[in-house]
Amino acid sequence: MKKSLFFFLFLTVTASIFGLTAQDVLDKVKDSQNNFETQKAVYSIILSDSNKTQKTRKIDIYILISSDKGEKLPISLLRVTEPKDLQNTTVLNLSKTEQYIYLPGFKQVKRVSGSSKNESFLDTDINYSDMTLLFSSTIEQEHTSSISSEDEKSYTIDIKLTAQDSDYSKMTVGVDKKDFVIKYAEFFGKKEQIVKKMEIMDYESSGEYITYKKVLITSLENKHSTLLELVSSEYGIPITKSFFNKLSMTNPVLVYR
Amino acid sequence: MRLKFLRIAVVGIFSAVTIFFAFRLLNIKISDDIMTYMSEENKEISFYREVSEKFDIDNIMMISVEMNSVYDELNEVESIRKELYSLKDVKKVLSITNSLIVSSDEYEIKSGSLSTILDLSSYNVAEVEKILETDSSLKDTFVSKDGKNVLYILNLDDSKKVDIGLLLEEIEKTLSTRTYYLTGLPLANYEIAQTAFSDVVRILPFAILGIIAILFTVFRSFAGVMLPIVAVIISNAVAMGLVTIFSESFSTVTIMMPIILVGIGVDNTVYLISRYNEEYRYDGDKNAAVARARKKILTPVLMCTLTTVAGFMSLITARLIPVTQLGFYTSAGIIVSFLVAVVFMPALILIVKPRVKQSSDKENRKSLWAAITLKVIKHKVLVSTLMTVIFLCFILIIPGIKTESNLETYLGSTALTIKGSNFINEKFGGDKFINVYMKSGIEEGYKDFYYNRVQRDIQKYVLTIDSHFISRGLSTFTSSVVKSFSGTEHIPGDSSTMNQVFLIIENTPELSKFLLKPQSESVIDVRISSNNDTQVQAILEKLNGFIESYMFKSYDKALLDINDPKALKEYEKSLQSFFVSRNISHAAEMFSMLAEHKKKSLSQVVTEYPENELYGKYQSFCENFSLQADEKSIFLKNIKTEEYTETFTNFLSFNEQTLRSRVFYEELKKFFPAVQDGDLAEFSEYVNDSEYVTQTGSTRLYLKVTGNPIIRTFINSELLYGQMTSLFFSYLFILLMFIISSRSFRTGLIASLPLLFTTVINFGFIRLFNFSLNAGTITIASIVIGLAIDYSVHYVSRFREEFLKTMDICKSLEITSKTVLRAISTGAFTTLLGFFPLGFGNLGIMKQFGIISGISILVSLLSTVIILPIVFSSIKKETLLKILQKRKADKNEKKSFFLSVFNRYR
Repeated sequence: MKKSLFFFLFLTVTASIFGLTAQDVLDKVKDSQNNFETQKAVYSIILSDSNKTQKTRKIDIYILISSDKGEKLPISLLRVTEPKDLQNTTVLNLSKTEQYIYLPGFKQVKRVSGSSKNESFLDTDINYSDMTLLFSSTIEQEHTSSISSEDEKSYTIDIKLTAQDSDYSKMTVGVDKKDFVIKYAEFFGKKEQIVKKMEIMDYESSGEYITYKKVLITSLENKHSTLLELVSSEYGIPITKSFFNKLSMTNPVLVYR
Repeated sequence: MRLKFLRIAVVGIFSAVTIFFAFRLLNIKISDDIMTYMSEENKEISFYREVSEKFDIDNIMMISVEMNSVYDELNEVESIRKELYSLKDVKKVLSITNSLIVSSDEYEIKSGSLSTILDLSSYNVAEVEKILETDSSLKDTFVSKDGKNVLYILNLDDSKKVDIGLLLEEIEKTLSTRTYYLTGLPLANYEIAQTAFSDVVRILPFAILGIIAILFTVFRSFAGVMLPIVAVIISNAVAMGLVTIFSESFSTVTIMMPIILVGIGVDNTVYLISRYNEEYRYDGDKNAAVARARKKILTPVLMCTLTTVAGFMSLITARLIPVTQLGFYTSAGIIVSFLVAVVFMPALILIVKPRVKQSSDKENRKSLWAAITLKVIKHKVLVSTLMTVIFLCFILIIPGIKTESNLETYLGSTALTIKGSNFINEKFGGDKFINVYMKSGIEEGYKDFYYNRVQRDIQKYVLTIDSHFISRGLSTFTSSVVKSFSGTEHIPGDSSTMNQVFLIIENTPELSKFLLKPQSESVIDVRISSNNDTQVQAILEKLNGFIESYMFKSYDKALLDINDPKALKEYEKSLQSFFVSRNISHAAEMFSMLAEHKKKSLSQVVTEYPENELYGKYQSFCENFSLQADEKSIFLKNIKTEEYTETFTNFLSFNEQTLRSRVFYEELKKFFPAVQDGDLAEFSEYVNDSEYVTQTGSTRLYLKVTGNPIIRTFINSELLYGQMTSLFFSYLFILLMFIISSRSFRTGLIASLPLLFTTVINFGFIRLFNFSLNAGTITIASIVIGLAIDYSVHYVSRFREEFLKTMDICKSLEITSKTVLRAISTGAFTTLLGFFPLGFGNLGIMKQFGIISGISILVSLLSTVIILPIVFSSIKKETLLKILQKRKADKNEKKSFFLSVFNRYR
């Protein structure tokens, strides 16, 4: 009896010493996804509104994970290829505070700031924060986290966002234990109500890279949803930081090779 | 024994009913909202309701808060906004810190609000001023010109559910250390209801005391005073109880009912007691006296009740709910007072058996009324001339009556909402909004360039009506985005470009105040300062005229081929709204210049562009994209020879639109120097239009002007219509009744003359006192007609009787005045005491109603005393005999049912 009690205590102490904290889990998620340097992905986007009307768009996304003082920072360039009237509209995300948009109608590039940094872009339900979470599993805003529950397959992590300018008060993220991949995320507004849901409906783990194949993002407040479906993806493409500049945005054809 | 039980049962039933309804009065509520005056089924009202629910334009309260300097204290401004937002029943709070703004410079476009664009805890004031320069309407809307007052616009929950008293307390707690002013319809309605209630509570005792004084003078007994008061209590309890059962609350119109019922409800019981005293003196038998009195008064009192009810019930034809309610519930109260007089009172009299004073000999008393009648007859030419002059003068001034309702006249300048309104009007240029609603018939129609051009033209047109108006709408933001790219605020005539513009702003949450994407619905807010219905009506007419004449209700978009004359003609038509909305009189010339410029080749444009400026532009282009710029001399040579380098071709491809519009602008400026620079710059951008719209087509566009001031104006105009209808029915019913009862058309007409005079004088006094036709004053004519007909009926019937007896017109008139006018004047004065004390109310509508109704009752009494003797004394004896004897001959001495009833009643 004494032996078994001692063994039980040993297990408990060991588990608490060697168990993962919420931040450990989030770091592992980040590492599992940011293990590429460059990526080009083609996504088909289906936008649905409260009237159930659907619009389809096609975008090319170019991502470069750059390192700054050991910190991995994703930068991205999004180009709309369909529909025709939005063709070549391009968004360049250099950081959370530095975004540019190119409108072919005016043939002009402008830096975009203001609340747009917290807003969804290209009429989707994705804002900059969502995009960094989605494509690089990075939570850029200041936060504290804790594991609210855990089972055999997944962790549920509560993330409190402490930054004042954040659109959300907290997030709840479900993480797959096997691949350390985000399975879903719920975003809570200032009044603690769920305002947005992100659901990873399908992903591909090739051992080296994890690619989200189907993601549904639903804005509960305006009953609007965005379904991202991966058409193709390429890793390790030869793009450098110089590709992500204002001139590239204006080129009718993006050439990186 | 059985009779005694029956009497006790009757008294018991009436008492129980009274107690039941009196208990309902514990839940009495007073609220007033002009928006609820008309049925929800009314198209204008239901449309406004629909739009206000969608865009939160109703239930608005404005608070102006004094600061040292708004621009220096934006953090404080935002924190007050958040505190106000946290208050109960506050749905939304808009201010300068959280309203949508699109600001831009050469390199950057900022969309969002000041609180999202800036870090309000540490910011540069100069930067704020620069941002606000790009959207002056935002600055004008929320910050006073001296920069020391900031405005908060609060959207409240459904006004019926909001406890404004509590909200005011919470606002006071939040802003206790600051100077602030507030206004808005919910507050005005709250103050109106509070003032109305306190007025009634204050006035009612005086009205009752006045009536007690008259009753005591007439009857000189406790019962003679108390029994009519009991009758008033019963009729009031039932009528007011009915309001609490069938209507949610009293309005400022229906709350006048108890005081009116005090005046009218007392009459029937007075007649009963008066007759009972007379009958008791005859044989001293109380039982028999009550029975005879009840029998004799039953029909005349019924007739008087019916005529008065007819007056009030005619108000039901008015299309305003509170007026209809006043008509219905007061009629119910009058019917109850009739039942009390003929059922309850006889039973009560027999139970309490009041003491009856012996009558003094009054046979030979001198009568003031008779003396007046004789004087009138003596000077009938002078009096009738005077009356005619007065009548004509009043007719002449009647058209000047205003139908507007000014809150200040209702509430007085000391009311919170009026003080707030005056302050906000002075500091911010207005506190009322009219709204132009737009809906497109196609999916995402709000992105359409024509949809946005229509919006922008309407916003511009509003400024031609009054340059102080401030308007904000979807196109305020689309044109700002365009400005950040092209340098000029305008709406590009190109669908693709517009779709791209919307990528920047359409997800901005603040835009939802102006745009509902699913149905492509949007609203333009136009802030006005006018409190005057005539001005609001004029604005509405102008706006509707502009929309009707220049906006296409259905259209199709097409690619613009400048060489196609048909397309060019359609294009010109579609641009008419641009010229009209900017007061430009050179439409044709400017359009033909536009067509010419559109035909120009790019090389032509390059040649016409100022050389130095072009090179400067080229240099900054090269710098921006890290390209090598040509030497100036080579550059200029290449332009002349049209040998463009790859870099220059790139430059042209990026700047073609800017170059074209600039060259066109310079030309416009040369030929039309009087036209405002901004308008010329905007029009010069039209040179880049790639599409145009046709006047008819498959895309529907729905536009409608609405808003709180518009609805108020609409309700006021409905008041006038309702009054005319109500008056018409009132006259018709009463005239018909009298003609039928007297079986003589001419007698009917003669009896109705005092009514006509009273009605004209009633409206004349409304004009003379500079009052307006409102929910209170509008009802007086119909009510007074119901009362005044009684006086005429009594007078004519008694005169007829005396004349047929004596065949002497003068003597008959003297006797008639001596006898019947005493009863008439007693009734008139008790009624007057019910109405006139309202004139001492603080609430404008009540005050006006009290004064005008009091005057009208007096005039109706005097017109009976003056007009009827003049008319009768002016008709030849033979003719008069024919008129009055006609029925007698027809019926072989059988008296008219109604006239005999009145005679008996007398």
